[in-house]
Amino acid sequence: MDIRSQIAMVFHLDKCIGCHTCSIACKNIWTDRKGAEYMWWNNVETKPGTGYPNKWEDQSVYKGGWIKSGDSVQLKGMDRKSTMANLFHNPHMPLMDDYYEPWTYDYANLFEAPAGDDQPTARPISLVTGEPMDIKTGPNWDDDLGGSPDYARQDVNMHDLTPAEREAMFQLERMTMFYLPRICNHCLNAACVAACPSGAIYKRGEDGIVLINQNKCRSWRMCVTACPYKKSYYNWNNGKSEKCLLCYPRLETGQAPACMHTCVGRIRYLGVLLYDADRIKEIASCDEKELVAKQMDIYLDPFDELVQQAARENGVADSTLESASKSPVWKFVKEWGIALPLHPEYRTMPNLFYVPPLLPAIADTSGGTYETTSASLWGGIESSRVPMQYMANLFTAGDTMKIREVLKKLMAVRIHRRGVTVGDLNEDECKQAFAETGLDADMADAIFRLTSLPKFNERFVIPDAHREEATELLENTADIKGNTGFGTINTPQRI
Amino acid sequence: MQRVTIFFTFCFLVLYVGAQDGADLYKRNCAACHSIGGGRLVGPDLAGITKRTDKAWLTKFIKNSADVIKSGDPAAVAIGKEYNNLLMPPFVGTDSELSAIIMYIDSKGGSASSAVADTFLNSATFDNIVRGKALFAGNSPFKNAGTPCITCHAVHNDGGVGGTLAKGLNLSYFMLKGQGLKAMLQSPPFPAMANAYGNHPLNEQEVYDLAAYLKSVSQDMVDGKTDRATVPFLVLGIGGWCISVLILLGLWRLRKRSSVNHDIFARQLATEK
Repeated sequence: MDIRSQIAMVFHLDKCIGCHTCSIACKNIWTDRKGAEYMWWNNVETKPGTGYPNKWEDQSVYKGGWIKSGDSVQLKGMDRKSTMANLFHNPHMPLMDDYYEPWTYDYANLFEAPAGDDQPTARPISLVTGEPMDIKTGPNWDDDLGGSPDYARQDVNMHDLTPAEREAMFQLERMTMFYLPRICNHCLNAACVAACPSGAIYKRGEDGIVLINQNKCRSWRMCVTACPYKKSYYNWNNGKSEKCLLCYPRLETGQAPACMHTCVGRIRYLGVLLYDADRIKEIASCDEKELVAKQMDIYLDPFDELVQQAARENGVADSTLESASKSPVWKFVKEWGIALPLHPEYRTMPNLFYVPPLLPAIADTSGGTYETTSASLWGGIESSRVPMQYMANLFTAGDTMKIREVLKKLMAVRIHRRGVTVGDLNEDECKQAFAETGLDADMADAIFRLTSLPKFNERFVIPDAHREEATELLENTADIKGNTGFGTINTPQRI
Repeated sequence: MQRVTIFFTFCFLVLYVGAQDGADLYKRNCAACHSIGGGRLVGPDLAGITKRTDKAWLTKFIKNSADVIKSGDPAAVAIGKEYNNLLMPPFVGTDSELSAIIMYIDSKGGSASSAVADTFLNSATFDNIVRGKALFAGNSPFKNAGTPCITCHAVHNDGGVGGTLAKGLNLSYFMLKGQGLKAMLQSPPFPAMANAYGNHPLNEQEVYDLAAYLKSVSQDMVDGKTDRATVPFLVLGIGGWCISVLILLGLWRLRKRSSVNHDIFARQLATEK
């Protein structure tokens, strides 16, 4: 047993309203710099859609993540030899058009244009070349005005859907979609760490945050290829790669990351999970069908005395153990089992879990009439607006049983709460829902509370950062308080 | 009186040393290229040279033949032409040593022969050449631990391998002939070579093998056998380059060349016009 602590996250997709406040908060703090304009460490995608960068989930193009190789795993995009051979030209990287060419507008023209017959306009100006440009695409094109049919048809998660299901989605695309906010998953088996030829990427010991050492980065950009979520970005201005750092300076001072703090729908939860690092290899290389179940096994019960003992021996602080026992992530992921990792088939063991959206169909058009009557208040899980297989491709490596189980639990909570608050449901219906899912009334109430009425301190249980205290032993932090910020301490130079 | 005695003793010593060393100095400095009454080798036969030419001119010429030829002296130019403008290395030594050498040549007397008397390599076999090649390249060591020739010299019929510190030896045989090669190898007149081999002289067998090898090299050059090596190498080089470029172009095509939504962008741009 090698027990370590990991700061993990849960995003509740039923609550996401797609407002992009998270993206803007993140951009304002971290990526509002030259060379970083195109980076969205946090972005919100519209599903079905191709996402950002376009079709990032299509690993036949981008070669991200791991593939099983015997008893172990190997990177899909590279091994030692091909890293060496492709060192000076990494062939599988996204192009600028796969992200988008960042731009601003020539606002001054609105004021300074000479008098004329036409209204002056603010033309888009490329932030890369500084020249006027035609906008081809943007960071959230699926949602903006990209014409979703064009893009949604290319959604990678459509594979394995029957033609009928596919057809249904394209009929329904006008009335259903959901949002998928994404940040770095701070994976247990991070592909970016494994791919870096300079050894610049590391996973912090005390909280598992994956960071790029800006002094060691040599811009080989292997992490850009290796990360299947495409959450490592190359700064073309200073020649270093950058990625989400889970706002560790905020975490170290007890604040929630900016994207989570600002979240309007309050969909985000953050807390500590304890895991057994000795089992990473075994679980990452297990059979694809077992991936989700086995990943759940790696997280250990923070209330178990033996686990606590082993964690203490491994240097996990008591304060971290305490916050692990209060972790909302533990509840969503393990206790209730209603949060799933995104694309577990990439075998990186991501630590960002999603509560899948319950999208019940409450009406359908049949024979030209808008039909709202159904046998029960909500249609069955089977008649969800998004096909089970599509959800399964996103969250369970194609296993529809698992996603059905989770959605049934969510439905059971709704049925139970409807019974409690309105009382118009047959009690048998509620009992049957509990029997099918193994929930009980207390648990359903707890899920409801943490989903709908959580307090700030219940959503974010941030462990004390002892790193800060350790620093205080060595230097007077008051001297530099307010003087440091994000940037490049040692300016990178090309020799 | 004492001073006079010392002066005469000194003169005697100088003369004695001159007589004593003339033969030795001649052997070290001149015998590689010249004979006295033995016919022409690399340079002319020196028998009777002191009778035919003025001693002052001779001294000047030996000290630095290149300058004399450059100055346009007709006799010097004629000699240069006769011997393919192969310049005699400048004499490095004191004036008394030089006069000792001239005295020695003078004492031998005789008359010059213009016949080329070189039978040295007539009995060389293929084995000699093979052994010589091994010695040249350092594949088999010299008995007295001399440095292999390839350290400083190159011959170009083996793909141009060899040092560039000293002259290439492609045409050495035609310049020196067998006797010259032998003399060069036995007691090299060039300072660097004399230093290198002074304490590590080559034995007779080694000298013979090396000379045989160098002769074969020179003959190969004349027979045009080197072209055999150069042309294939050129073809191989160009061909190899073309193949590498083709392979790289092939690999280059495997990269991700356009954005995944290229078709959509292209269609949009097309409809804009």
